[in-house]
Amino acid sequence: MYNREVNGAGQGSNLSAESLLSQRHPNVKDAVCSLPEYQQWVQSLPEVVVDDVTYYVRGGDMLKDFDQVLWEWTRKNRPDLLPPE
Amino acid sequence: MPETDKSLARALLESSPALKERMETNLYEHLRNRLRKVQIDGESYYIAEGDTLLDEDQLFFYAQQRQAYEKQLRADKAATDAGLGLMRLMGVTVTGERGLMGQLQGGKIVRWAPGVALSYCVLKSTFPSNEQYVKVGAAMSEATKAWEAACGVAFEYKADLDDSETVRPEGVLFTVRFLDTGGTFLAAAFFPNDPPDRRRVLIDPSYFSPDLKFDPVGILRHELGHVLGFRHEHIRSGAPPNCPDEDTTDTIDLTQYDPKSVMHYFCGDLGSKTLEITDMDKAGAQKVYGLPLNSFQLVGP
Repeated sequence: MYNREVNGAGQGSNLSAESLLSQRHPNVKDAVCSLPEYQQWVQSLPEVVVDDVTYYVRGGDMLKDFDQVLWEWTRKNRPDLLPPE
Repeated sequence: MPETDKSLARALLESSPALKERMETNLYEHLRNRLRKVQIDGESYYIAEGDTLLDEDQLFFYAQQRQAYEKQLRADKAATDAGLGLMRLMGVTVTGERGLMGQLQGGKIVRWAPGVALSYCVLKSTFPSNEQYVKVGAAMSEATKAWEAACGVAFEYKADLDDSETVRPEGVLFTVRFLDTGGTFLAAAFFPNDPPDRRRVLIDPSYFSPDLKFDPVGILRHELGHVLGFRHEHIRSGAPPNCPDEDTTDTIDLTQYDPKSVMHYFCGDLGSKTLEITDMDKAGAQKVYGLPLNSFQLVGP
């Protein structure tokens, strides 16, 4: 799962808000990534590669990086894992 | 008040005498009796809001606008009291309300900073044919004009950068490029708060299909709606169940639900294949970006 990040999404100076969230809360990311139901869901998403970076297509025409879909899934399915605001 | 305003108000009433009779006059009569009057150069003016001078005709329209605004406030309050809240913030779910949706970050609406020119180029070398490049350039021109006519944004086409070899040329905010995704989408865009290296509008080969069911300009109007920060219209709880679902965290409803919105997919027998910017879209967009820039008579220092 993590190897998609090595492709560049969420790397360097161009970080999404969710990538910053993952950096602040790596334990949440690890916990979610280990969940079989999350793995099954994320593998079902359509992907596109733009400039050697892999994105997930959400809502038909929106490109999201690994962290963006991870936090989207967590908010919807496992809000108990979200860090306190 | 400039003379032109006074003339406009008078001209409107003179051109349609019945107009005054059809409109509500309660507040107008009330203000006529209550407001202080002053004489300036032989003309009589009412003083509204402490320092606004209005002649008789201007006062009439002022009263109409005040009444309409107060009605809107009452409707909003009634909706909120009924549990049809206007906001859906992270961690707080307020259900029921639907409409053109904006995006929130840190509790604030995401938009481009005032004065930012949304400059772009159409990367010619990415397109398989000159015909496709020309078609997209023309569609972008129409789509950007439509948004400029809808709200206070300005796009700037930098055609001199169309021949750039790099996919991230300096001098434009975003690029428009061809990318073969195997029909994963017709076109895709970005949001204002996406990382800067994602500022591109992508065009899939399916956009050029002779079987395309949507207006090609409409598709770009929709994508540019995302560029301005607007989310899909069909993701509200009241949308047809067979419309695609999306995370609505950090979104804000800008208008009532509009099934014909430019941001609504064609799903559940709703939506529009022409993807026009509707009056409700304009109202929502103007809440974020204000009136179209050409609405203003700009006055220098």
